[in-house]
Parts: sequence; C-alpha cells; structure tokens
Amino acid sequence: MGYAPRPMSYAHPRHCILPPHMIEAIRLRGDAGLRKMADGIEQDGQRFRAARCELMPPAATRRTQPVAARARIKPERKVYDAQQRRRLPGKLVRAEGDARSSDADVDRAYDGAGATFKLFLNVYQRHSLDGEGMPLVSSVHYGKSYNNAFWDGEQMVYGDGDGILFRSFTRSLSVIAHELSHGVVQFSGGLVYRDQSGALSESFADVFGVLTLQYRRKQAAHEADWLVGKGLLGPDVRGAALRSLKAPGTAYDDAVLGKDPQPFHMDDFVYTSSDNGGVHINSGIPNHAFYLLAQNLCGNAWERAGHIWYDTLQSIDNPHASFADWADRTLELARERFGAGSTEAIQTRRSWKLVGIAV
Amino acid sequence: MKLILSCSGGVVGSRIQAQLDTAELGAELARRAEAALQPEKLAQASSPENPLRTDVLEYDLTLLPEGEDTDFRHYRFSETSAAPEVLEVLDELMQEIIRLRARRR
Ligand SMILES: [Zn+2]
Repeated sequence: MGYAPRPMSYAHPRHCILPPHMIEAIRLRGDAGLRKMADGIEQDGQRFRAARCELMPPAATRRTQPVAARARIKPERKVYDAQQRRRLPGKLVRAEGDARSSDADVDRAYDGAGATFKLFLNVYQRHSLDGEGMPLVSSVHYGKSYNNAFWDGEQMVYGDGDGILFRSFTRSLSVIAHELSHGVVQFSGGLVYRDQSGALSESFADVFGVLTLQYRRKQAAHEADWLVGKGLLGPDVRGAALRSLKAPGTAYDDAVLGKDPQPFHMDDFVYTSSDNGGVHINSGIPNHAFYLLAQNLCGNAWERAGHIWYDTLQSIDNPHASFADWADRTLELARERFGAGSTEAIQTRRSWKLVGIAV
Repeated sequence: MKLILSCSGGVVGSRIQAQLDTAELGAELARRAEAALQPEKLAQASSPENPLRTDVLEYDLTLLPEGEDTDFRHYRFSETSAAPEVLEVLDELMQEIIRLRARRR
C-alpha cells in the first residue's frame, strides 16, 4: 500500500477565524503559497481575529497505486559537499550512477539513502519519500565540527562531528534512515513537531531507522541491537549509541553529554518546554511499544510490526495525534489486516499496555 | 563580550549550556564573535520558523550587560533561521565549551 500527498483545497478569504492549530497545520501540510499565507497571518499578530478564511481542513493523504515492476525503479540520489560551511546544499560531488568517490562520507550518505529507499520500496511499495520518486538530496561536511544531522523539509544534512562527543553522522545507517524517515512523515500528512505528535514523528523516524538497518542485515527482531546511532559517540564518551528502543534511557551516561533521558513508560513521561516539548525524550515510549510488539511477534520486525506502524502513519490523518490516538489506530489496523483475535492484534494491545497506554 | 550560550535539540536531543567571556578566547575568535553576534543579526534569526524541519539545533543566547547603558539581551532561534556567519561563530563557541569540559572529564 503506498500513499502520497495531494495539494490542499481552500477557498477565498471570508468569514471564520483561523485558529492557531489550523495555521500550524497549513504551514506543515500546505503548499508554498499557503505556508507563506500562514506565516503572514502570524507575523501580523492577527492569528485569532483577522484571518477570516473559509478554509477546508488540511487534506488527507491519498493512496497511490502500489508500485508495479519495482525491480526497474531506482532512486535518484545527489550528494553535495558543504565544504564545512553552514550553507546548503554545497558542491555536487556524486549523482545517481556515478562511481564511488574518494570521500567516505559522500559514499555513506549515498549508500544509506539507497538502503532506506529500498526498504520503503520493497516492503511498503513506497516510491521514495513522497511516493512519487522524489530525488534524495544529501549534504555532507556541513559546518565545522558540527554535531548534528537534520532534515530541512527538502534534504538531509550531515555534520562531521567534533571528534570529542561525536564522529561523523554518516557513520550510522540508522541515523541516515532516521532523517529520511522524517521526509516520509512529512509527505504522509505530517505530524506537528511538538509535544506528543512531535515525539511520534521522532519515534517513527527511530523505528524506520532501525528497520532499515535490520532489513539490510536481514536480521530478525531478536538478533538486532535496536540501537539508533551506534558508532557515533566519540572515543571517550560513556555510551553505546544515541538511543535504545530495547532499553530507553540506557544509551549513554556521560560527564559532558549527560544521561540518556528517555522514559519507556507513561509514568515517567517528561513535561518540558525544551526540545519542542521533549520530542527526543518521550519518543522512548512509542519506541519501546514498537520494540515489544516486534519482539513478541518474532521474525522480521519490518514485516508485521513494520506494516502496522507504516499503515498507521498513512491513515491516521491527524497532525496533532497523541500517543493514545496512534495506539488506537495501530490496534484498528492490526485487527483489519490480521483479524480481531489475531496474535498481531493481541500483541499490539499488550505492547501499549506495557508502556502505560490502554487501548 | 560575556554571554550565556545554550544549544539543544538536534538528532541527539541533548542540551549543553555555558557562560563564556570572549576575552578569554583567542583574539581572532573574540573579534569574529563580536562582529557576528550583533543585535540586528540576532533579531533576524528569531524570525518565523520553517515547520517542516526536524532535528535542528535550537540556540538560546543571552548577551550579558557590560556597561551602564546596556541591558540583558536574549535571543532564541533555530539553526535554520540564522545567518551562516552567526552559526559558524556559534559552532566555534560550542567547540570551546565542549573542549573545556572534555578536558575536565
Ligand atoms: Zn529526528
């Protein structure tokens, strides 16, 4: 099953107040013109009174036909070298079909984009991030000693790390696939990047980050380490990775970096204004629910558990979804796909219960 | 120039904060920091955010008062809304903070 976005439909400005969550949804899901309009509304400080538009709710994602003859479908990758500046995209150094470069970061970004593309195409019949063959653009060597990787809405960006806290962010396939999976979220209707919906976006990216790695290694759930960003931490940092889906909160504990703050249960949900409301913190809860489901179902996590999670993103159609909304939808889909009394449905409900969410 | 710099978020989601006095850094970095961290450049960085970006770094910067005529100036912005020359200086300042802390580890 594959899905792709469609443009939003809207009418001329007229009578009704545009609430903040609607503005946010437009900025997240609308086209460039609508985003500009939403920005303008906010800048004018007229969010609650002057934006009198008759506006349809943000468009749902639409199902595209499953990709046929997928063996012939190839990614269209482009890797740029930002040359240690903070400007994007930089200089094009490897395009689709080009020979390997002499730069390991360039080749890892290229190969990692290819591995992620393969998972989404072969397993979920999705043609690239947008379902329509969007080119996969990456920039490496971004900034000097830059300790991060991100998705900017159009492309992936990777820093070299400072060699103290982090090594190059292209060294981890799970991180490369994490960033690309944010693109999948964006083109599947989006999740507002704040609070619980933001933590769901983070969790989806972590889940499909580790699934890409497991799929490439052909590892069953019980054989995998379930770590995101293994191999990224600097030589003297106490830790194994950025996050653990198997044991959230245990990935690192270091004098400079601090301690992995992720909870695995709703009892320890963190209320904070930083990190967009703890999107990288509370994602530990849905991360662990996915891990429990995959582990209890046995076999390959990208198959049954992966399909339930992927289908949930495609069909939830709620950019402000809470953990409970997401969990409800996973159970509905497990019942639809595998049957009401199936092991998959029973284990889905049980996994959520174990992290403190009753469905 | 005395400042408090905090960097949080990113794909890691961690937060590092420290107080710095650019006079204690090399003269070249101090000069570039003072040139880049000007109120008008920082005010521009605080413009509306692109909602599609994820895992970007968020900066919290407080410039501490240095004379009777100045006041605390506080700026909060993400890396996708700031000018490259501001970000490049902030990267260097963060590196100074990390190096210092790693030495004390
Ligand atoms: Zn992320």
